Amino acid sequence: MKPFDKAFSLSPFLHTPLYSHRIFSLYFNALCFLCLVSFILFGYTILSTLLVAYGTAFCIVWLFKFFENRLFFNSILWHNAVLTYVLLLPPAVDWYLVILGVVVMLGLGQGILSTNKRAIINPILLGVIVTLSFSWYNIQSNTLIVPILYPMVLEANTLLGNDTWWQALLDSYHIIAGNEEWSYLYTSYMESYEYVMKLYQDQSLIQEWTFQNTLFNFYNSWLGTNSLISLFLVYAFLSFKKVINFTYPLTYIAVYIISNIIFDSVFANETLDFTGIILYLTGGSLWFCAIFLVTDNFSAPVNKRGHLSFVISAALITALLNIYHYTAINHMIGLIIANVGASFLELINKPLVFGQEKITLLNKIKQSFKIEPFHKLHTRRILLGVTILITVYAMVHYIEDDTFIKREERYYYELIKDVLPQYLIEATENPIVYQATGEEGDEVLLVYSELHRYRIKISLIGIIKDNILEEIVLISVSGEYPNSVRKEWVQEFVGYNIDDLPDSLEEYLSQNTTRFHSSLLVALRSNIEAVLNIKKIAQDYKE
Amino acid sequence: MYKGIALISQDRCKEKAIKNVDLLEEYYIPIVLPLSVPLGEKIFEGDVLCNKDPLIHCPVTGIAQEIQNHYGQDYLVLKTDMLAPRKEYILNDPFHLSPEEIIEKIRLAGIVGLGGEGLPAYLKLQEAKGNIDTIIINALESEPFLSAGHRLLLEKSKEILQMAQILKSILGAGKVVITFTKNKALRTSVEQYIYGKSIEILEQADFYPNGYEKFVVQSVTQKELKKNDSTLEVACLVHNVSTIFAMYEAVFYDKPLTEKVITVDGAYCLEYGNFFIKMGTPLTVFLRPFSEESTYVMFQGGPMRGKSLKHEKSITKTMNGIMIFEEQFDIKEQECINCAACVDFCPVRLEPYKLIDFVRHEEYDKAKDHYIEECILCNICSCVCPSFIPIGDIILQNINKEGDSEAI
Repeated sequence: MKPFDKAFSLSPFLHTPLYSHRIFSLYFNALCFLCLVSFILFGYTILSTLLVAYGTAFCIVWLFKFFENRLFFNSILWHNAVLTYVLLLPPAVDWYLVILGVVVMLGLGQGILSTNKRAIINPILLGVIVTLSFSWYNIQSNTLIVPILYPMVLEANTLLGNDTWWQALLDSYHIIAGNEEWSYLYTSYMESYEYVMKLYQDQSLIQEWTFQNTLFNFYNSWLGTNSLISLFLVYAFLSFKKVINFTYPLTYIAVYIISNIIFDSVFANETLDFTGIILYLTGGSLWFCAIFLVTDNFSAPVNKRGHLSFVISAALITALLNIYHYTAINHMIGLIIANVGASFLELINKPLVFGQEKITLLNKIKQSFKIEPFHKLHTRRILLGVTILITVYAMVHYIEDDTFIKREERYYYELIKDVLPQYLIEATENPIVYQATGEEGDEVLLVYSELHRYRIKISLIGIIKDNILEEIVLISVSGEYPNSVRKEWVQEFVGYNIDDLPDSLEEYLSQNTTRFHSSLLVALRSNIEAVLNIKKIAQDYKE
Repeated sequence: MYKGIALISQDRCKEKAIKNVDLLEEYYIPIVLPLSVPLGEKIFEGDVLCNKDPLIHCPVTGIAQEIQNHYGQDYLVLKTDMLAPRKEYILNDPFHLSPEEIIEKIRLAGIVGLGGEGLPAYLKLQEAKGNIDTIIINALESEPFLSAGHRLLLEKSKEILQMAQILKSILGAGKVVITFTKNKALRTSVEQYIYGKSIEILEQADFYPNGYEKFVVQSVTQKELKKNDSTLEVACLVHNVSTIFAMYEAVFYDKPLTEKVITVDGAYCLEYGNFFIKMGTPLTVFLRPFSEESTYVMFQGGPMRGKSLKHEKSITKTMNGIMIFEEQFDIKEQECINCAACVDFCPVRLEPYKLIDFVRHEEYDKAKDHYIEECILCNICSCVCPSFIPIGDIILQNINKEGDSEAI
């Protein structure tokens, strides 16, 4: 079985496991940094707590790496100290740094943070921790499927062709796909759907889904799904504690939907129809974020008005980002940006004490912005600073380490090997006209596709004359990071030399200011062999 | 506007009429030395025991035996003369008296703020004279179990309203507002003695802590006051209903403050209900027989703001409830989860989670900057905390601590 074929998304708004993992990594990294900044600026205890909380995730992940998926769940009280150090420690950090940090934090951290009496139970973290515990091995081996979706997939397959809810859902995507802007979603969804069909045909690959299998990792799992399950578990826990407030997620969803409708009509000059609203509402990330907001008490301001403004800001930012580019990660970015302002929102929404005179915003900020002289700094803060320094050193060390890069490389290598040839054929069969121009009499089309699920961009150019696809050329294959896709791989697996081509289509187009057609000819001339190769595929297709 | 929280209603005592307690053989009267009566001699009911403000009077006729010191408080042990007749107080006509004479009567009766304030009531009246628009009679008891004020107003509506009229005339106030928790019987009882628009009724929902003086003022005047602000700043005089009744007895009967209505309740009490209890009544008389000290906890006031009576020996003027409950093992405190419940529910809009962080790190200056002194110790934060953090207790222990500015 091809490893990357196992990825499947319930909705186009949820990504592949690896992609989700990446989102979370970015999210945590960004938050940790923001926490530090906020802590320095506003000196809020809650933010130091937040710092600890987000460190927990990495700590547990790191521990799991060594305990190989064994459930490691202990009392978290004494961890307060250790976790602070392990804050930003990613996997594969050097042992000596970890030991040094643990010694420092065990010795000193107890006095630093344990008196804080703050819990490290940010649900999203718990979700990620549990998830990673289930799927750490799988992430490494890149064999990920969706256990929780299996029953649905089976049902869908059994009832294929019937008018089931699954089919209805599919139909709604068909409608959406009629809109050119949504077409890439359609493609993405169909890819997933076809994959499921294929998967189902191969009965040997289907394992029986049981709770135990999922829990103890005999079964492959999926980050997003498990995170959601974990979130629901924490949701239940918080419900038991009676601290759940539905105002926040409902506000988030409402503001998000309304602002999207408004922004669509103002900026995109479009009226969102019912299907569009359904699409927004069924977005996995939207619900993920909504549940996150209802269960998260750490990264949000600790007062009602502040929390509400935080939620509204996050929704508005996400909706604004949607104008530029509609993607699931916008929710995360929206949350991160709102997190930047969390301290500020808390400050300006600070309740006015009974009987006190109203304080102006400027005075509020002045009051909170007090830098104490060094000799007056509390011991725990100095120690916290030392810990942060060690952590930063560990981070720098980690960045220099190439373990992560190697893993990324392997990912793309496998991807190019398995997916690209197949994709090229599919692209030739079903070209999507993205942008067309050319000389009079010629019809030039640009086939541009972004394999979103695989974190890869593939650019193709083709020429149509008299409604016949005559030529097609692969312009570029690029990954998420510069040079993450090596050209020699493309050559190795596709028989295609793209050494002379730029790294991205944008760069290619920007370098050639002449007419598009001329640029195309340049491309064709330099890759005649490749063109012939693809042309042959096209010819086969026509026949 | 924040309306408080609805606590579980515990009003079995509300239905029970106020009863008198039989004479006891011994009383332990809390006093401030020097004593103005000789020890070993017979003293009579109503005699002044201490001349310092507020005056303390002898509750029953008997022999002053000795002075005992118990946890820093001096108590006069009074052996009751069981055969001596009860003193009879004769009704006066106070309407011809001048304001100064009425205030003097209140001073001589040793009346203090019976809501728990404990300051001499006449001082408040002197300050308020000619400076107030509104007199507020506070009969709100938002804490569970407490119902002394409710019963007193229900049974002595006429007397209380008469005294309110007198206060209104001597202080030159524009109106009198009587406020109590919504109750049909109480409203009917009060309304029958109100003539014209001389007295307004303000009924409030049964939310805690509605009865706090500053909240009462806010509900009448729509103005917020700081914890230590005087209500005179907004031209209001607030008195507890028990204080008004004590004033009535002092003005109409020249009766000193020697007894008051107190709610007694709890699993370990001998009899629950509201009682006229004399000052100096030993606390042990309320206990069920055979109650071992380790099994019960006794405190004054309601369960929310109640104070432990471990170090007290007898009834004082400021007590308005005696609760005797089963001793409960401490619930283990868990870690704060930043749920903001304490912030959302704080009636004075503090940030309790921050305050306890500051005091735990001995950053008292910061706690002060965050208005720890404005905390009214209502204990709602502890009550709503899902992590069972005794926020109220922590604040109570640290509320008056000063930060050392030189400390690192």
